[in-house]
Amino acid sequence: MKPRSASRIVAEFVETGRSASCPVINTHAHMGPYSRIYMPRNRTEDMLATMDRCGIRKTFFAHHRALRDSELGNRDAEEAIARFPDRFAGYWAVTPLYPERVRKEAAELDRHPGFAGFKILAAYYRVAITDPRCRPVWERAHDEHLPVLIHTWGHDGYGDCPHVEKIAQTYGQARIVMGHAQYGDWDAGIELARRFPNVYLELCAAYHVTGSVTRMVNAGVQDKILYGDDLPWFNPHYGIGCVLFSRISDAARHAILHENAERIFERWL
Amino acid sequence: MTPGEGIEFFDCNAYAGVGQFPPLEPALDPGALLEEMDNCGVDRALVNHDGGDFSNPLESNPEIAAFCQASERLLPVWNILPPQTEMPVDDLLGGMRDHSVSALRARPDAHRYLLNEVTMGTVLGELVERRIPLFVNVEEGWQLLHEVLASWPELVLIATDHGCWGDDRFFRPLLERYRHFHIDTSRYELDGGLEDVLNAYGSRRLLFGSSYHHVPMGGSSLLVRHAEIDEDDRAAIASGNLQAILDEVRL
Repeated sequence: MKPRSASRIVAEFVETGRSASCPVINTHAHMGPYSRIYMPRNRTEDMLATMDRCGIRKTFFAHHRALRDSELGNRDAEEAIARFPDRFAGYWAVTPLYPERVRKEAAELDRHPGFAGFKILAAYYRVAITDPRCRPVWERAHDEHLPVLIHTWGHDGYGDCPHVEKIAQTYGQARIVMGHAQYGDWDAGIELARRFPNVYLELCAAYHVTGSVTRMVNAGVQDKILYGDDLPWFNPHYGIGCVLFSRISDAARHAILHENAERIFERWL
Repeated sequence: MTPGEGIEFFDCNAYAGVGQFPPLEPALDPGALLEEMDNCGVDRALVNHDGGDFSNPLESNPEIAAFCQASERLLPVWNILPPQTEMPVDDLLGGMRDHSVSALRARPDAHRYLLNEVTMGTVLGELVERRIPLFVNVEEGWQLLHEVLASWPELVLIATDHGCWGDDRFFRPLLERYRHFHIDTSRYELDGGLEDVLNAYGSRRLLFGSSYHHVPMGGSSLLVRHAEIDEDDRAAIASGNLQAILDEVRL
């Protein structure tokens, strides 16, 4: 049967799989193969095809390979961005286990214009975002108002709310994108987004918890929520569907799926 | 024609009721579940008691049967226990007939038993004989599912809720070997995964599921509506395969 939703955006996505009036900006993605999961559509062209089918205007990503080896992986990312600069922009992935590289790469980011900011996968490296080895990233992001996508998971001890609070207090101009929106520690994550103008909730994986999106919107932070889906991990229709069918207004759907990103990532769109 | 238009959606994996760890927006009554189904365009659902892991099935089974009395769109799923304790096979089958139950779930970890020949041989033997489908959450462990199917290769087994990390390396060998093994789409979020599985094994092995009230119905349903597959396959995944499984049940 047909969904009963009265939303025009929902109707458009149900009928065509995308929306002309509500393009999507994906602020959390990757590219390339990864060790622990089979991904049939991890190549650049596959991702583009998926983006076209799902109405995704632009994707901000960190290459999987860069999460292990920033030198090799960011080069892969740069090649993809150079081929499709209107559709992809990068987060320069840093690996704080190699602090000399972090210092050099943070200093030289402007040599790589396809990259909007940085990505830190803190918990995977077991290095907290407050660790001195991450400092060059935060200083650069603060100085130039750059986005930093961090992997955040409630109470993980590396990028959780107390750590983000310290970073937000110290680096007030950095645009702190909390990937996965402090999964599981919803209210504390929302509170951070409310308190700090430079802290944002990014929905990847968080959207698959019933009520999470509605809770954020009802808490009054709809202008701080960004869409992301870890592509090529997750089919965007899954993530977009979770947002669309949440009990929120069309204004909130627009804000989450594109308007907030258009504001925060304006320089790189 | 809009993809999915006119196709029935039959959710093989919904949850409702009072459980031990309630989600942010629990469906505590049939109205809440039906509202989500209407919202997302889902016609019918097999419904599990969310408290089915914490409570004894002798309590939760009749509770979910009563819950589903509210609408013919809702069909109950019961939990099984070892016949050596409080659920002899005849009692289980009699109860299923009395309450029109056609699908079962095993939660061996929560209910503390071994889903093996020694403990559950007579129960699973009846399930094979009567073509009764058994649902198992993959959190029980893929090793267990591999062992169960090795012992009962003709069992109609549906693995549900495989996580967002993508379990293809675990379940594809089972699809390859066992013709009555199925997976649901509740958490099969992998981009291109559904199409890839369909191309390798056919659409018959995939069942639409949502894992609502833990997971929104909107994600899985929109994914199936717009999967790059033909309309016959879409109809099979959305409801046809599950209906065919239930049509074969002989109580």
